[in-house]
Amino acid sequence: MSLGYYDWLVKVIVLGDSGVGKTNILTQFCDSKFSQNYTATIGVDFKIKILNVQDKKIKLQIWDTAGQERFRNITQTYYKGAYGIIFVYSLIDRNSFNNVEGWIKSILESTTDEVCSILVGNKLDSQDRRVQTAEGEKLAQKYNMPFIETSALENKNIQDIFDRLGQNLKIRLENEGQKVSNNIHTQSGQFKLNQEVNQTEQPTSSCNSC
Amino acid sequence: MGNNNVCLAEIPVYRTNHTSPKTKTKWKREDLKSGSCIQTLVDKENNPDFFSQYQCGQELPQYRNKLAQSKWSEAFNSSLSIINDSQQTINSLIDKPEFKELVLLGPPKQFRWLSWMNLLTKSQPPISYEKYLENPPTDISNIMKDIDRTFVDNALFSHQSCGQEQLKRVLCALSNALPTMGYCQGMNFICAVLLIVSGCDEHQVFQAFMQMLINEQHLLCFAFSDDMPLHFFLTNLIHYQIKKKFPKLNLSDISDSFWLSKMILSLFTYVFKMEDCIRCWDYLMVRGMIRGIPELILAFIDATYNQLSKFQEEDFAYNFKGPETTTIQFNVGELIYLAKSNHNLDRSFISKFAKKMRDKNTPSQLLDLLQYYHNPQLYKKHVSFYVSTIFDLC
Repeated sequence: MSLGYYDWLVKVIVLGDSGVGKTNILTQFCDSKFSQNYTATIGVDFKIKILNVQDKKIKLQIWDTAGQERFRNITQTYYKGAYGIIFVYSLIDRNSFNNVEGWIKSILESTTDEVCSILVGNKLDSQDRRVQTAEGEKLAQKYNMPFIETSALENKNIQDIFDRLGQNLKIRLENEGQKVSNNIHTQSGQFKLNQEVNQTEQPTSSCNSC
Repeated sequence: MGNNNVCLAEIPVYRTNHTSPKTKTKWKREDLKSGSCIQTLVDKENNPDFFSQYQCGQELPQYRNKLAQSKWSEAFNSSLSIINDSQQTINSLIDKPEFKELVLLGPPKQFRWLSWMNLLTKSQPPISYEKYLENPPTDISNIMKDIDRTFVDNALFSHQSCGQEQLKRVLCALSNALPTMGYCQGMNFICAVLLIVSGCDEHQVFQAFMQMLINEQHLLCFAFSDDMPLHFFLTNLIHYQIKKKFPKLNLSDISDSFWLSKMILSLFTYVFKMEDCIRCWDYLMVRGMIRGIPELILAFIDATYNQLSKFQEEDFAYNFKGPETTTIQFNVGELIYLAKSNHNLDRSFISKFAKKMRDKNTPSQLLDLLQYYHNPQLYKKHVSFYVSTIFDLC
């Protein structure tokens, strides 16, 4: 089930409260569908998708996580080695927005690596908005990350999340220099992203553009 | 009793397993090879082709294999009088030494729920469901988030007024009864399966689930409480056994634990088809969760060894998302056979493993209790004391 050639393999995690639409965003992005009969995620799931950013192919290994606080013990074990983080809240759930900072802090606590992040306000299709666009923008600015409002239901701006994240990932990966890229090239196809590999290939340069 | 329909759907699987039997068993593998299918009554009614589609033998709709049929018939015949009432029938069987064997073989549909109830709640004082329904629990918002995303493809839970209401009530009562645990995702799936098998008897589902959470055989409260100690105990134990029994199996780093977590925290409902899941629960009810869960998971790895050993990381992603997408094939009867004959865990092994995992710096009540697992009486005493201290049940 190989997805073919790629330039980089990148681990991305999706975080946010229970029920904000993390799984639906991923299903829309990876499988181009929206499931009305969706299911609560237990623990973690992952999906794989190749993202084209200009002339480069980035193979995303995207980890979908359970939002309930109690699962953090399990989900945190999957934080390590992540290059990209997608923080999701629901525009119609004020609490999920208030908790975003908690999620950001949980990342800052558990990883010292610089990561490319993006803040996503989902459920743009709903009439019952409880979080204003300006609030999302302000929060995103505070943590120096891009911000986007989406609807997984209507497939609105979903591709944009990954395009913007991909842009930043590409800039960062290219900054790392030839060494890492060459290394992965030689192993392309069978390369597995795991702890040890990540530690050796983790960029040391910071990612100001993220 | 119960609206689950169990019938003879043959799912032939020709595969050799990886390990050889550890103990002698009274069954042959062939006895358990035929599968089962369970649908809700509503599903069945919605589908006029149900019987032909699933090859249900109308003449023997309630047994899934010949050995189960003959053993259950034998057990009934030896009862003193002809009994029409299901409850009395089960009552006449539960004290027999072969009762647990009969459940492992697969109870006929009208006796499954009664068999489970007896295994779970026998000689346990009933807990007041009504009392715990009086007030909404503090974490009701967490429960509400999951009510309309639990088995919504199942006819019982597709409408708000039907199973969803009952699911909500039972989960609220459980959260009230065990407030230090509260509601945790995974419980919704377990509760839904109990509702399906019981035929929507929410009072009994509450009693059954409570025993699954606090009875010393099961102790699932430790899987759902903060830090999920039972989940971590079981994943450690399973990894240890995998290394020992399947040393060549290369479960890639990324995927080794995430599907084990799903199996443990949803009792297989997230991963297996409903009919397979219910058969696995026959095993769990008899064996208890603490040993039953790891034994079944090891049996699963055993039965699907050839498939799992060829998996790339993408395959793990696709195959453990839910029963609809999986390509893994196994026979659930084979799974139960393997769990019982090849992967049986001793009580003393559980104790030793718990002692080994204990860490002075991070005390764990679960490990403190499990260290006595080798001594059933002492263990039971400690668990009762713990449960009565932590949870003030009435």
